[in-house]
Amino acid sequence: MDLSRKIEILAESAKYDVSCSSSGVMNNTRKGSIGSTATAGICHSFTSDGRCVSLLKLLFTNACIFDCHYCINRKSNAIPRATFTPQEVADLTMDFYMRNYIEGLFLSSAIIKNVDYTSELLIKTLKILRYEKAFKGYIHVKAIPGADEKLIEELGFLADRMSVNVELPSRESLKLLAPDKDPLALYKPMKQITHKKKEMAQVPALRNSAAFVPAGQSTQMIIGASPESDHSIVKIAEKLYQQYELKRVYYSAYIPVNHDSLLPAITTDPPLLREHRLYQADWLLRFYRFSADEILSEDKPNFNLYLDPKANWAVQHYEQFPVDVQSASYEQLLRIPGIGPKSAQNILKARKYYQLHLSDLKKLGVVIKRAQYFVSCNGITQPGLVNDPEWVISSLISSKQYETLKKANSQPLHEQLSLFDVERFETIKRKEARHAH
Amino acid sequence: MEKTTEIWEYDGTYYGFLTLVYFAFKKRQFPEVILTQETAVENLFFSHWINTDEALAKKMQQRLTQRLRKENTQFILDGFYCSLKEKDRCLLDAIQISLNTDDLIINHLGHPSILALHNSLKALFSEVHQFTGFVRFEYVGTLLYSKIAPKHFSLPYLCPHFAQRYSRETLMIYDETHRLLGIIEKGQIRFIEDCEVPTFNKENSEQAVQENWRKFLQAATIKERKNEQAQLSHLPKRYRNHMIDFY
Repeated sequence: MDLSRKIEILAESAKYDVSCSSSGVMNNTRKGSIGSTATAGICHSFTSDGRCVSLLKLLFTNACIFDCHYCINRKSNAIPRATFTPQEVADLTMDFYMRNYIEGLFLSSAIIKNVDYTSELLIKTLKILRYEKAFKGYIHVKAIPGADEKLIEELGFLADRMSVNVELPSRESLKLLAPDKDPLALYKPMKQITHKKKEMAQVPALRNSAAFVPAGQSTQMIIGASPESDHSIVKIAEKLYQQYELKRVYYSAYIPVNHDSLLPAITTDPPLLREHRLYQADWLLRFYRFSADEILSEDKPNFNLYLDPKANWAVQHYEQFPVDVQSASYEQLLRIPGIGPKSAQNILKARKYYQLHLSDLKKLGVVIKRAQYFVSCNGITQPGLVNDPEWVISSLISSKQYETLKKANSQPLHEQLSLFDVERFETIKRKEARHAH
Repeated sequence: MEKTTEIWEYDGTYYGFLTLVYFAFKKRQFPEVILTQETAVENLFFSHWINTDEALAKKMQQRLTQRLRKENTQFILDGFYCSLKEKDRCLLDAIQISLNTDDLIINHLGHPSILALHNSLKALFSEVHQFTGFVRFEYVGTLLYSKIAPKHFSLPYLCPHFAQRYSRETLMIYDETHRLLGIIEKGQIRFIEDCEVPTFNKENSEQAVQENWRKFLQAATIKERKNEQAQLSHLPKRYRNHMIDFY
């Protein structure tokens, strides 16, 4: 099989892997080597689905011995199969890297023969790149769960980032949909990487030796293939950030690729908006100092699809607003919809020597369209502001969305603060959709 | 500083600007409008021409380097290369503020001139960052060549990135907009100003690599997620003319 056909098959098989980041490693250029890494990610292209292309994302092979229900590469699927050689992957990476098409390599693999053999092939590829080609660019490699600890460690010294996919948000779903995978084995390499990194940082003698997974580790979860609520997913993500110090948790809206009675019908649209809300909530966890239980709760376990999680939190806690931008702390500023970490820092800088005015906020990077309902400046609020969360909701979303929400609302009028019973509305909508099918 | 209604004009060079700074501080007067040869045509009023004096400019540069914080000097230098329409006037304000404080000038975002410069620099650096990904090289013999058409004066800020990335190679990047050629040889950078587009005999071997890249991009696309609007906002059309991804 020629190389270009292999690229078609094995890039197509890898496209559902979400990670595209190439960030997190301080420059490690050395004389006589090729390539460098950047602390901020560099995007080299964008496909027509709007996703960033930063890394040459390939599967080493799609000839898998496992039969996971949700996976396009499951052994029972009749699809074209291909396998690269380590030399081919290394040459292709260098060809693309020299022309500045990519920032590095993202190498994943289906399980060929067994987990250790697959890991050894990945190690061989990375060794050609690092030692023969003197490649200092970014490499993200998937750790193969169940592989020998020594092999995982060896991979960790060759790669910049490693990831282990937790695949599904609960052990029960994993047991059902990925019967060949051991749920415990998934978390084992994650734990091993975390421990090794900590050990390397704590032992002074090891600090200056070869870097172990310098860009940290990440993971990916499939959303919508199993019944977990948004709240449980956000809780898992929070735990992963705290316990395993993950750099990123990626969420992938399940795109039905297989006919299977255990999975959503092949005609089902991928839950893209839900995925988007999860990413927004993820940002709230990582950059806005929110906790999972502030974003969602067991009583209200799913996202409001009409309002982003931060705006949703703000209208639910409207008694804390408007926040005065002239005197608020950084933490308070971060909680205002339309103000992000950068604009919050700009506000702090700008007010250090000058008195702010509401009209300055836009120039400082604040999204006024959202923030205007929640801010004041030296006691002055936006003209025409009505102190009523329901009015704020109606202003933040389109009139059509507002009418739909209002019609579906089952709560009595006096329950002002719980606002709209969106979950009930979503259940009705889902039922209607099922009847229509 | 006294603010006058005068209009001053200079040749648009950095040394010309420093000469202007020298006169502004010597006379203790800030003009209302500062013009260069490019912007002078838009103005109907009489302007006062300031001749570039290299010796004075160098003296001024030395004074500024001595008196200002390193970060503030860099801010002013970068500010000179940004595309803000009234940058010269804003830069005079920036120099005055920096002379009176030990603080970072960026902390004075509440001042309209500093905010305008900050936003303009953000646009310049954002373009530089975009180009670190969107530049496409091709081999011409053993040389890596690329052509770009930046909106801002990005090339001098872009070259160090590639000098580090390809420390063993020889590269050429041509900026069509500013007719500037950047040459990087084994990590060393130099520029040729007012340069014609270099011409080369292109090699056929590049076609195969470019075709493989397009195949990869096609295979990596998820049809169910098609969103050309998102693609357009992340990768605006002005970058695409020089990217082989879209041939």
